[in-house]
Amino acid sequence: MANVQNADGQLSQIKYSPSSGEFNLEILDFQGPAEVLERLQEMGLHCGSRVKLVGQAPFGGPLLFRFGTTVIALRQDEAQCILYKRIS
Amino acid sequence: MGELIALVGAPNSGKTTLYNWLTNSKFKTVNYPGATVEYSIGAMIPELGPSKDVMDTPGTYSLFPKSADEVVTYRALYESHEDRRVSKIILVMDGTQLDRHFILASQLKAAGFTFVIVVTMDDLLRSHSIQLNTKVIQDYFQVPVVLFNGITGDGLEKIVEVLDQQMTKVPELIKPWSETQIAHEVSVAKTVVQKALSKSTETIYEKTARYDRYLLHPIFGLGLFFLIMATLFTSIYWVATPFMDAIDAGFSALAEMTGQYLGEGLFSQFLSDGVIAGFGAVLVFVPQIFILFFGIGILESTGYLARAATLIDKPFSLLGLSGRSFVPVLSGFACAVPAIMATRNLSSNRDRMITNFIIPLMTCSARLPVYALLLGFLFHNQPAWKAGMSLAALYFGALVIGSIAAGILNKILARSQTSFFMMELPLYRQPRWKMLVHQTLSRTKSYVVRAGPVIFIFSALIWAGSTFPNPDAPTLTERMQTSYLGQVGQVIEPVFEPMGLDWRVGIGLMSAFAAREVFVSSMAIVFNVTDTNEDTQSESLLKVMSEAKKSDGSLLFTTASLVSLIVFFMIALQCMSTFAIAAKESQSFQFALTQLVVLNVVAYILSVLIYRGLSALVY
Ligand SMILES: Nc1nc2c(ncn2[C@@H]2O[C@H](COP(=O)(O)OP(=O)(O)OP(=O)(O)O)[C@@H](O)[C@H]2O)c(=O)[nH]1
Ligand SMILES: [Mg+2]
Repeated sequence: MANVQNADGQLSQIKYSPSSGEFNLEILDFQGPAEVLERLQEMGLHCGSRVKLVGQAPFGGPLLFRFGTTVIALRQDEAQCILYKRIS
Repeated sequence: MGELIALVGAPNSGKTTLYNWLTNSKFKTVNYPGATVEYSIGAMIPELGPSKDVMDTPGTYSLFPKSADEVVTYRALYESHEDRRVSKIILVMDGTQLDRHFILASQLKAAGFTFVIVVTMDDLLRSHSIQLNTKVIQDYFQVPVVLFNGITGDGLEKIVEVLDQQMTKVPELIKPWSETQIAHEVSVAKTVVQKALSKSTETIYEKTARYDRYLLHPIFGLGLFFLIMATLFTSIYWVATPFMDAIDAGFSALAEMTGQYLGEGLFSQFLSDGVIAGFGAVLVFVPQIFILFFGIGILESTGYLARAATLIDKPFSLLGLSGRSFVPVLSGFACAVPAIMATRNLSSNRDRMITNFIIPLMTCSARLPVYALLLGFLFHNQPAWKAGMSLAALYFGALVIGSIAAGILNKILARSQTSFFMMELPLYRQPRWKMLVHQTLSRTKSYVVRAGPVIFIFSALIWAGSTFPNPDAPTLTERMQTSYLGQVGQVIEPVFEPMGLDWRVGIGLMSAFAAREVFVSSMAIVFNVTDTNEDTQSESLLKVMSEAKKSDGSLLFTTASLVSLIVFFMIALQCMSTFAIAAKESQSFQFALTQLVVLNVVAYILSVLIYRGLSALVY
């Protein structure tokens, strides 16, 4: 899937830059290897989940997603399996 | 045999904590998802009720395993152990993570397992004035739900009580769930949990999130990471020194007293020059090992390890490792054997293989006495900070050598599998100091207990080998040269000569293959016996060794030969337990053998080259 512009309401792959700061997003869909998608869901990320992207580890390392009582770190590769809509 | 009850649950949900309460065990509980990698079975303490056995299992997110540790749990549930099968399950759910841990309960239910639910972290819910109405969850799953406080043990009797009321059913395998099924479960989980909790648990994470703003910051976070590692590695030297001096003095006094009490004679010599000198040389380093274990223990219990893994993931991934390799690599600084087992937590076999290959390069606690001794020579009569800093440098050096080795392997090995990194970051927790000290003491004790017999046997062998067949030779030098050990020495000396060493150190290096710390006790005995005369007898081993000469009259321990010796110890794989566990965990004898040969050959070649290079520079 092409990397669609991050306009509200459109599906986007997560590409984070430190300048974009924290923002909330809603997960709309997943794409990628079945094993990864299964594990993402088992760890609590589902279609319709609202999560907050709160930061990134150094050198373009894993992205940090917070929801409820949890923060999950995902490498860029795994994060890009998430198709999302920015909500704030 | 009583029935077998398995503790099952998501990583870091508190299974091992509950297991320790149920069986009165002292297994390590770690604030890191993926700490337990092997199942263990223990008898429930009799005070709790009719006899039964309890099994702790590695954490698993679902009944569909994705890493070796999850496979252990899966097999624990579906296969028999010592001719019996798990009859009931205690599903452990973290009270602060109920909605995420819900799905495993649904899967157990769908598979037809007999289970009860234990909700841990009751203390955290209470301290944030959150009430959990267990009846809501109970009604949904139609199984008993019990609250448990892992700190005080409150709820323990209730768990056993409800367990005994359950009838065992035979489970079946279930197929992975479809998208719609998952979606359905998720929405149910949300509704049920929301109804059960008096308010959202989100506030519990606030404090942790605040700390993480610094600890995971791209700049501060990295700086703090290095600071923490540097503190760990340097404190090994600083903090331990006074204790080491005390132990050293104690052993010297003991040797002297033994000599006085027993008078002259072979037995007296055997005790004071053999056994006491051998043990003393190694036990002196026990305080350093305690500090190291304690430091790692603090990191384990706070929850920082998961952050460290996240910070290091990117650099590690360039070397063919994963952020999840960090914890096994760090525990390799204590001992390679549990470290290699800990790689079960890695999802990719390739990552796992590379991590296993480099773990033996980490400065394990058995190397610590060796380094401390050699650095003691290198910086004899120089300010203590030099040796301290060098020791820390050797720890970082191990990471550098490990990175180089990983980088090379990453180039050679075919890329087969995609590796992924998904890590949940647990709540920060206060270390429980009393428990930590206790755990550290017992780990240190088992280090001594493990090394003890080997040191004793080798001390006796080396003392006897260097004393007989001529115990009454006119001079000690002659006694040594005509001894059995001396004769063997003549044969092996050519191998060690290129490293700038003589046969005495050669004997030490060979004995180190029994256990690395044996090198230190062997050196103590060989040099005590050869160089003993009235004046130097009470001098420390350091002094005796620093004046030792080769047969051509030149100094044995020069900068060049010491550095080459240190490099040899940094790389050589001299530990047979490591070899055995590497073969077992990789399920490949070939892997373990390759690792053994490559590391030892490279160690030898490098140390010869370094000796040559440095000697050329200095002279
Ligand atoms: N406050 C609090 N902490 C707990 C409780 N139970 C466990 N912990 C802590 O939670 C962390 C994880 O506990 P473990 O018992 O090691 O968890 P586990 O389920 O065995 O974890 P894995 O083996 O990694 O799957 C440790 O730091 C424990 O001290 C509890 O009831 N209350
Ligand atoms: Mg455990």
